[in-house]
Amino acid sequence: MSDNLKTIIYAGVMTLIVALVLATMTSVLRPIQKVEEDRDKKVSILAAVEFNEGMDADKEYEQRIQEVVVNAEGEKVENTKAFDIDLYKEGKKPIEERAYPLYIYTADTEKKKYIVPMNGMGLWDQIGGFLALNGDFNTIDGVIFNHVGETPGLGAEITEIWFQKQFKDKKLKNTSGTYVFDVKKGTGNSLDEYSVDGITGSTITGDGLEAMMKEDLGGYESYFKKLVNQELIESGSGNKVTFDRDILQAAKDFFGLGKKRLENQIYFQDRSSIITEQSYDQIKTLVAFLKTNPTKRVKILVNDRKDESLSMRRAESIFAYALQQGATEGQLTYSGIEDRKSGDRVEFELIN
Amino acid sequence: MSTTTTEVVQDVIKEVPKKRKPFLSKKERQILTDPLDDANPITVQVLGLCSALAVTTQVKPAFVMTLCVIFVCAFANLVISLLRNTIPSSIRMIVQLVVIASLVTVVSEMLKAFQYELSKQLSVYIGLIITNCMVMGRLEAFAMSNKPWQSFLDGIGNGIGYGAILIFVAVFRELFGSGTLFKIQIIPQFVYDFGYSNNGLMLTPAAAMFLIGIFIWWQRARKPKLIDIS
Repeated sequence: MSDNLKTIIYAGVMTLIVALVLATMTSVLRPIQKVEEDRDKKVSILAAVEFNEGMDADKEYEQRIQEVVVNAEGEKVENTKAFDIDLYKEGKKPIEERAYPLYIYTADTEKKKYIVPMNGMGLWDQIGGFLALNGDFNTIDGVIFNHVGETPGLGAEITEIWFQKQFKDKKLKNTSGTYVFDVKKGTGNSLDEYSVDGITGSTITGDGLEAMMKEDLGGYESYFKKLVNQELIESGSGNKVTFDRDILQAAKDFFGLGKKRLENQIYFQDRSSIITEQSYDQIKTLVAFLKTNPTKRVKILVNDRKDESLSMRRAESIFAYALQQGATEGQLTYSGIEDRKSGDRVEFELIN
Repeated sequence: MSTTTTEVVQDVIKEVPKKRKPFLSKKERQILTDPLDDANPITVQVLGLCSALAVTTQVKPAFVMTLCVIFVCAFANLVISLLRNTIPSSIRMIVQLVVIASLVTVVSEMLKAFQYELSKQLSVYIGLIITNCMVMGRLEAFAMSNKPWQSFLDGIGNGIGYGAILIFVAVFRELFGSGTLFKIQIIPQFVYDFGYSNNGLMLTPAAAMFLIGIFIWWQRARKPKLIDIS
């Protein structure tokens, strides 16, 4: 056998053996590594809010963190696990298709903090982190950053405590509602509530960080607006329902001024009992009224000039939707009638 | 008459204590101890400086790094020594690199699985063991022309010599740069209250450079024969 052939065979055999050994080892170790990586991620998420060296990350996470996934419209997305979302991949999708994971943290004081995961570009490679916001969705409670390949001593300093500590109690938007937060060059920005000191020599990393914060937080705008607008009502029957503030306001006047009977604009699809979407708010207001007045009872009355069974089905439809929205069954009754003299209409009657 | 002679002879034989064969021969012990001082990889052979500067801000990473380097160096030496008569000369360096890289990969993956926190701290530097001149240097200088057991010992010896310097530097840097050792607070609070503060320079690689320089100075002063050896 020629020397060259021997060399090639030697190299080939060596490669095969090495590949076999490394591949086996990796597949055995991978599950163990995943457990560690997951725990590390949980530690990072919790670290945005609190940091205790000795804490049991898995337990704390289990007890305090609620995972939610929303889209750009502010609606909740089901069937997706927040923890497993790859932000880098999501970032490549168009905004309408992105899934935004959110971690809601409940402190011992029952106060909630909202932890947003971030992913962006530094100077050389990806940077990321978790940002915890207070209930006003504007004040930063804490932050933690990580990076893949920033320069040690320069861009890599974003992982240092001194840099991250600066973010506490800073605000993202000013009083007019404009996003103004930035990472400023130089020092002395500790008094400015809308900025932090950048790292000398890491302007590009700082800019990347700033852009990442703005873009990633922007995705949650719609959802945060909804949360701010909502209030949690707990009725006598014990179940809690959230309502938008404007609906709660409308509910106050629902049977206002001593009225007992209310004709409402509930619209149905042609000759059917399917409620049109524009009517949903009306029924929600009814439910809000029932929830804030747990002793009242209301009767739903639907009239159709020609078809009693249709009006019955329509009344039942309204009743069903109201229950779906959280109304207590005991507070509602419904009936449908056929009356040629009065027009097609829906009425809510306060019984007591 | 003859029985008394044999009895006496047997008594004499019993009295002479059986000389125990030492675990390591003199030469082998030298292989282990030389790199600690006379042939120290960092201060005499001047190899492996990069990681000496990078991982010595604290003692714990320096210690773990040392263990990893001892492992890689010893087993790379062993493997190459076992293969030394089979390696085709044209791919000699490539084979050496493959062996080193595979071992470092094993170490790196093991660390990620069982010491995750530490692997994050040491992240890039474990991978850089591949580029540590000391490992490759010992393969060429020793393992390629010596028997497996000796090569293994040489790897361990050099790893320990390397580690000794690393830990020396790390102790100074952690103690004076952070007031701690192995993350345990050593300098008590009242000293800080008196006005003492941690030396920030110690946290930079420059400090490691100075410390190694001072060590080399001290070593040459003790053993003038080492001056100008490298």
